[in-house]
Amino acid sequence: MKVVVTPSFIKSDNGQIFSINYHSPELTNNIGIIHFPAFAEEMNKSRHMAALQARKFAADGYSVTIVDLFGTGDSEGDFSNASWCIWLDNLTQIVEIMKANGVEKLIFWGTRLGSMLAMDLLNSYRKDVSLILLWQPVLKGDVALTQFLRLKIAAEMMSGEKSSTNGLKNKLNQNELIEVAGYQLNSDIANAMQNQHLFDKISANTPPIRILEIVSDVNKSISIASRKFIEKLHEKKIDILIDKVVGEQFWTTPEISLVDELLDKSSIIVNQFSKMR
Amino acid sequence: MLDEVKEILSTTLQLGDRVNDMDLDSALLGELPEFDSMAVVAVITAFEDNFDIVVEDDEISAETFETLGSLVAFAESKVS
Repeated sequence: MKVVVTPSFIKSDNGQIFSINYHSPELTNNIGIIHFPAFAEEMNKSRHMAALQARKFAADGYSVTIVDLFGTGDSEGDFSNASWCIWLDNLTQIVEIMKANGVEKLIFWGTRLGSMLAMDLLNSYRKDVSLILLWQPVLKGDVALTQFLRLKIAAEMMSGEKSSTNGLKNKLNQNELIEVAGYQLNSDIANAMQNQHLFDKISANTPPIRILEIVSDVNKSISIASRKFIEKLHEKKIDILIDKVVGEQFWTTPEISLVDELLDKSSIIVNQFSKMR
Repeated sequence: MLDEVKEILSTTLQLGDRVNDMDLDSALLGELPEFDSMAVVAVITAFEDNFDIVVEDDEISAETFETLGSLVAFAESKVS
């Protein structure tokens, strides 16, 4: 199935936002899939997998859009000036464009921290979203922030200096920018991460959620944290399931890695939901 | 513990079978080109996930990552 790939720059209040749309002109349903990207270097490392998946979805008839959020990728803006609100605005604009182009139902597809953005955007589009697909979602933003700040601590360890996570967080709270692995982190983004738990964003009104988690070996189980997360939500009768795929954590590996099983299972999940209409 | 730590290095740093030739004296930081600051964070995160421990900032030191032996010793001290 031929897939048409259309890059475009969209004029936003904060500058030009770059996005790529994938769709197949021969077989088009009215379902749009929006990708919510991972954070900082994880986004860069997961681009290839995201593009492969987008093509695969498009070949099955969906209109898929991958966006570079303000200050990232090919979009305008400095990462140091980014904010959670601006990123949600970017994504809102994408959704509106897709709807204007004929999309009637939406699937939100989040990678890592993008999962938090997806759940926040849900507040505006709950009735339109039929499925939330999350790739190894960040469950606790504060943990993700600590791990990100650790890159600075680890880098300083190699050069003999010494910061602490709390010291860095204090600087952020005083509106200082912190440079981490080449990214200028500001207090808005740091606070957004610090205060978000995925669990709190899920309620009885949330559309079905399907999570895919990477494990390194077929005999390994999903993480303890994920298991507890799902169990607590099942106690509240939430429609959420998790499945594992074997592969490398491509958003963090030194070399680009591909996880074919993730591509396959994601497509199966999405196609199952489309049939249920 | 040695095998578990080797497995973590193998997957997080994509070393594959190279870990089989490594022993406690094998140098990591400053020796393995893969061992940069991102690798340090990846290994710490994997330790936390796998061993259900929390690594504090002041435990992240060059000495810990000097050799496979020092890394294993660190893991053992956290798990016990």
